[in-house]
Amino acid sequence: MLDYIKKKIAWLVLQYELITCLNMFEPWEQMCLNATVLLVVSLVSYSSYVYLPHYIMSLINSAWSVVSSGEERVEYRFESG
Amino acid sequence: MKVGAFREPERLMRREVAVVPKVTAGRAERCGYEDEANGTVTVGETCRRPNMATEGLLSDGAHQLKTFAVNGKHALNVVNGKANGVVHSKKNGHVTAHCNGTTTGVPQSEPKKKPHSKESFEEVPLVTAVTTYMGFYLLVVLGYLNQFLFAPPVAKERNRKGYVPLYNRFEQFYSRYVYRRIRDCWNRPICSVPGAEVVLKDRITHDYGWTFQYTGLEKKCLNLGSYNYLGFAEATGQCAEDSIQSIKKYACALGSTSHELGTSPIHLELEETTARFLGVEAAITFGMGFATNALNLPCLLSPGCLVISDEKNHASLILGLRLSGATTRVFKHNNMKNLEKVLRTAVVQGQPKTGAPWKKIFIVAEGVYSMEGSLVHLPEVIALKKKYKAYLFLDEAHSVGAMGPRGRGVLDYYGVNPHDVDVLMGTFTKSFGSAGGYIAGSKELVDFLRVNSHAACYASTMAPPIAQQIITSMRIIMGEDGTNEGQKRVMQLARNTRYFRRRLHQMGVIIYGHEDSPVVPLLVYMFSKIGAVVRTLAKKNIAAVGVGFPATPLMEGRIRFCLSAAHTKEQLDNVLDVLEDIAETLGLKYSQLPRYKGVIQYEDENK
Ligand SMILES: Cc1ncc(COP(=O)(O)O)c(C=O)c1O
Repeated sequence: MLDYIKKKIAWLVLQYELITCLNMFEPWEQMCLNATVLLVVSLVSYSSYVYLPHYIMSLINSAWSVVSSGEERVEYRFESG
Repeated sequence: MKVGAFREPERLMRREVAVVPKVTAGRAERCGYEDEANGTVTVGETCRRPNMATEGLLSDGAHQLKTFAVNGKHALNVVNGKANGVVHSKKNGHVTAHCNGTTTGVPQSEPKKKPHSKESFEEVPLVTAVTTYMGFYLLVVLGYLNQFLFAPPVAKERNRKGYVPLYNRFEQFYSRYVYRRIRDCWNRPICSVPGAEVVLKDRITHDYGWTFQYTGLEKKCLNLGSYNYLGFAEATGQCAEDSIQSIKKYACALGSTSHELGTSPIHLELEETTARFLGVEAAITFGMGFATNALNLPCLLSPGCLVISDEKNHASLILGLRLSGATTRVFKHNNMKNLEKVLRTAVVQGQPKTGAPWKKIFIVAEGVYSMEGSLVHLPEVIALKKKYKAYLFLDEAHSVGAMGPRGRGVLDYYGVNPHDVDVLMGTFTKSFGSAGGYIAGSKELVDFLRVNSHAACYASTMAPPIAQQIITSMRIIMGEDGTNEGQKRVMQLARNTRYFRRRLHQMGVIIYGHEDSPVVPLLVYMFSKIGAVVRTLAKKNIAAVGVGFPATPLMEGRIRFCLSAAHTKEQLDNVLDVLEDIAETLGLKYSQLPRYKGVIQYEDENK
């Protein structure tokens, strides 16, 4: 099982290297590229951790308010349908 | 009949001036495929020639006529080769770009299921396309960054203030910062004859491909990179012995042009043998295949002529067309609908600005396309050429020797009469294991070229041992050496080709081209994968050639395998096992076509 996961991870890393052409770059270029990718990924995950729950809550809230206060619209939709 | 479009070429024909090709066209029609009496045949001798036309092919004559009848009638919508008795596998699920004129470009063309097609150009999966471009942009961006930060360790021009750069900037950047990174995969020095196996010299780089050092080691690899289709690249055997003898008889080289002191009996023999081999009247040979195209096309064409050229034509053809100054229109690769459309439009509209009729119209195509592995749809092209009264220039560089039941090229493969093609061009560099090129056709054509061609006039002739290698190998293919060695080689190549292609297809990788073409491009798309695959193959003692931009479109990096009659089934199995491994780890199994589940058999020797 562990072996399988190890293999899978190695395969994924290889795919990542191929897609980014990492195997063609010199070490410092690889570092640049990896750092950039890491930076982007960490920023995205950080921001999604910090802001996403709040944002989604507000989205749901606003959607809910539209649905609950939009009786007329709902009826209208039924008519037109 | 399509009205205006059909009348127009006839008018062209009467106006046109060149003697040589005219006669050829006239004769082709005399051969009995079109009854229509042709007014353009003016040279008295032509009456005799139709007999000669079939004479050389008599053994196959009836068969050929029949095949042509089959192909010719349905020319535009029949996939040919069936008449040749070649088995083709429906199970392989090959998909075609053949005749789907509505789509754009070959690789992008919508794969339509046509079970009877033997040609395949599968579309690239979207994800792969996106990642390929992303990888390329990364390479370019980091390349520029690298160039900006560190001065490249190359010679610089000095004292050139105020001059514009002499060399193309992007090309330079590309070769330094993209190509250089995988440069170890190309230009490998070899130290043996490139037969079925080749000895590669080991080298290493300490500065990421800027320079290389030899380690002093050598490595024997299976050779899948040479155009050694019939395995005539040998250091021993009949060919080698004869070549050595010819040095003793005629010296190493003549060092003069064929107009001056460069013609010796061996050259005449070579030309005679070539003509006999191809079943035409005459042939002229040159010491270099590239120059054969580049320097002879301008002889036949001039400004005011129209050339309709396949988009995947070889650089030598393109150079020849540019040198000639003729107007060039391009048709989509192997797309007959598009060819007809381009032809028709050009004929109807005439020359740009003046609208005058074209002096002459040439269709330029290749037999086997070396980067796509596809085959020209010859019967359809010939039908179109006859319909619009255009001339056909066929470059058989990769197909002569390698295709057809008798190894005489695509004409033999489709069973087409050689006289239907006006100019037959080919090279000796591939199947014959030698060097040089030929142009074959009617005697008038050859005589015209002999007098007018720059290659005949200024280039030194072929070296005698080289010529002898061709003569001997041609004789072997024709069976004139009294054995069936040649026939065996042709069959072996055909078997190898079908086996290798079917196995690859079953593996789920994308391969391009025709089922019977010995050039097998395996699509890997990404730059990084070209390098990775070639390096891994080399590690497993297999030498193959990677091809990337600019030789192919940016997105379509590929590995090209060239099969040979010298390969055995065991060797191919070895390669296929390694490839299976590589395809799994590197993720090359892009194909979304249904695969054949059963076991693929290597065909029997006597089949
Ligand atoms: C289609 C075609 N024509 C011409 C040539 C040039 O032949 P040579 O290599 O003998 O100069 C080639 C060579 O690769 C080719 O592929």
